[in-house]
Amino acid sequence: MIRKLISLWAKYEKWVTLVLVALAVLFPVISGFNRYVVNIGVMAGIYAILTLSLNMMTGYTGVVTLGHAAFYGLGAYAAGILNWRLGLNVPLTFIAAMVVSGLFGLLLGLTTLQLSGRYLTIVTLSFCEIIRILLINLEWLTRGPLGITNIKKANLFGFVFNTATKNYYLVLAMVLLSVFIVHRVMNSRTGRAIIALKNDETAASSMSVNVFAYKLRAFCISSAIAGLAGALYAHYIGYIDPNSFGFTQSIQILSMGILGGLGNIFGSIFGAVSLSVLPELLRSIGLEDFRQVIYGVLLALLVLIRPMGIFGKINLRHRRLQDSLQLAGEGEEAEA
Amino acid sequence: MSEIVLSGKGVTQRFGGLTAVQDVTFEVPKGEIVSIIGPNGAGKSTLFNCVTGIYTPTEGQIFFLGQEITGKKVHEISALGIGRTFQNIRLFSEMTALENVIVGSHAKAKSGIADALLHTPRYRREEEEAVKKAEEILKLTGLYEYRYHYATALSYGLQRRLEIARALASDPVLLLLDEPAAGMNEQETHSLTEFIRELKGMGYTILLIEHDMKLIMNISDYIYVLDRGIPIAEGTADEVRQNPLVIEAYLGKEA
Ligand SMILES: Nc1ncnc2c1ncn2[C@@H]1O[C@H](COP(=O)(O)OP(=O)(O)OP(=O)(O)O)[C@@H](O)[C@H]1O
Ligand SMILES: [Mg+2]
Repeated sequence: MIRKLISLWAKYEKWVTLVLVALAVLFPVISGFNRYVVNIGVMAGIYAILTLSLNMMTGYTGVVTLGHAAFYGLGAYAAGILNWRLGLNVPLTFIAAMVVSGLFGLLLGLTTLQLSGRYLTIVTLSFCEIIRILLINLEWLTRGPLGITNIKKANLFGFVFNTATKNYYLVLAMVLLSVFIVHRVMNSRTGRAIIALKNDETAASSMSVNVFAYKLRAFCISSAIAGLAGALYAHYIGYIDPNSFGFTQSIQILSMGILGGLGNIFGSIFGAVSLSVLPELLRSIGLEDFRQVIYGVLLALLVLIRPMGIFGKINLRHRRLQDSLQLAGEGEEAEA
Repeated sequence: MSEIVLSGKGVTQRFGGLTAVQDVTFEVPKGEIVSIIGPNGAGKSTLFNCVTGIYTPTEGQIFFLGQEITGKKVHEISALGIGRTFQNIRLFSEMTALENVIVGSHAKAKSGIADALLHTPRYRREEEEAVKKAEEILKLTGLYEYRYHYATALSYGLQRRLEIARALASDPVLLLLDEPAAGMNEQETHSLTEFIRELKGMGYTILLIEHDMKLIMNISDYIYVLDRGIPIAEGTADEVRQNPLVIEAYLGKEA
C-alpha cells in the first residue's frame, strides 16, 4: 500500500512538486493575507532552509551536528553588522552571510574533520557555544548581549520587503534556491562521492574519493546555506542577539531534520514546516501547555514506527528506475 | 623479463607487539596473476592494506609502476591505477549497483560543484560517459539486470562480483582481489575462475588472495605463501604444492 503510493509519487514526481510549489506560492492568498499566518510561513521557510542545510551535513555526509545554529547565527550577524555599520542590504548582505558562514564551516572542517563521528558531534556542540560566547564578548563588533537592533528590512534595488507577504516570497525564493543547490550537488559526481563516504569511508577512498576534501565541501555548502537563513532572519525580524542562536536552536533544527527524514529534500522541508506549524496549532486549540508532552509522545512514536524519519530512505529516482525494470519484467524490487 | 607492475621490498607491518607482516618481498609482473596464500591470520589482507595505503608499513617500501607509493594516501594510490575488492564486502549500501560502479570511476572524471550547479557540457558529457561505462562493466560481470537494485539487496555471490565490477570501473592497471570466492558455491567459484582468467586475457595484472586451493592452483602464474606474517615459500603452483614448509603450515606440525 505504502509502496504503491511511493511508486505513484515517483511516477508523477514533477506534478506533485509543481502542485506543492503552487500551494506554497498561493499560501498567503489562501490565508487571506493574514499577517499572523503568513508570519508562520516566513519562519517555516527560514527553518526549511536551515533543515536543508543540516541535511547536507548530517543526512548526506553523515556528520551529526549539535551546533548548526552557530552557522545560522554567523549569517545573521554578518548581515546584521553590515547593515547596521555600513548600511548594506540585499543582495550584498545575503552573499556576505553565506561567505562568512561558509568560511567558518571551512575553518571548523579543516581543523576537525579528521575526527570520527561522535567526537565530531561533540566538537560541533562546543563550536556553537564558542560562537555564542564570542558574540557576547566581542562587544565592539556585536554589541554583546544587547544584540543588534533596527536592522533594516530587506531592500532589493529599492524594492522594500516591508510586509510579511513580501518577506514570505523572498524566503520562498531562497528555499527554492537552496533546494536547487542541494538537489543538483547531490545528483552529481560530488554527491555520489559524499554518499559513498558516508556509507563507507574506506571503500570510498579506495575508489579514489578524497574523503576529507569531499566532507569539507559538504561542510562549506551546508554552512553557507545556513548563513543565508541567518541573513533572512536578521532582515525580517530586525533584531538579533546571541542567545537566539544557541544549543536549543541547534536541537530544534536537528529535530526537524530527523522528523522529516535525513537524506531527503522533501523530508527536510516537511520536518521544518510541520514543527513550525505544530506549536501554533496547539496554541490555537489551547493545548500550548502540553507542548512538551505532545512533542515527547510524537518523538517516541516516530522512533518506534519510523526511526529513519517520515520520509527517510525514500529515493524517488531509485524507485522510478526499479519500477521501470519491473514493467519490463526484468528483475525484482530491491527496496532497502 | 617483463615489466614489474607492483613490488614490495622488506615490507613489515606491526600492530603493537604483533608483527602481522614480516619482511615480505614480492613482485607482480605485468599481465600475470600472482597469488598470496596462507592460513587465517597470516597477514595477507594486511599486506593488501599496506599496498593500498590503508596502513603505512612500519618498515619497507612499495613500488607501483616504478614509483614509490609507500606512505601515500589511499585515494592517491587508487587514482594511480590500483583497484581493489574487500574480503568483508564493502559496497555503498544506499546506492544502486550501477551507482556503486559509477563511484568506481570517480578518478576518471573531473567535474565539480560548479559543473553540477550549472549542468555544464563537461558535467553532461561525464555523466553520460560514466553511466555508459558502468553499464558496460555490469554487462561484462553479468550484473546488468541488477543495475537498479540496491547493492546490499543482492545475494552474497552477486555482491562479490559487484565489488569486482566497481574496482574495474577505474580502468586499473592492477587489480587486488581479497578472497573473491569466499562464500561462493562450487558453480559460482568455477565461473569466477573463468572470469578472472578472462580479465587476465584483457590485460589486467592481478594480485589475488584466496583460500580456495583449486582456484589458486588453476590460475596463478606465481604464488607467495605467508604464515604468521612470515614469507615461507614462493614459486609456481607445482613448486608450492610440493614444498614441505607449505604443507606443514596448512596441516600443522603433527602432520
Ligand atoms: N588494524 C589491526 N590492528 C591490530 N591487529 C591487526 C589489525 N589488522 C590485522 N591485525 C592482525 O594481523 C594479523 C593478520 O591479519 P590479516 O587480516 O592480514 O590476516 P589474513 O591473512 O588476511 O587472514 P584471513 O585469511 O583470515 O583473512 C591477525 O592476527 C590480525 O588479528
Ligand atoms: Mg584476510
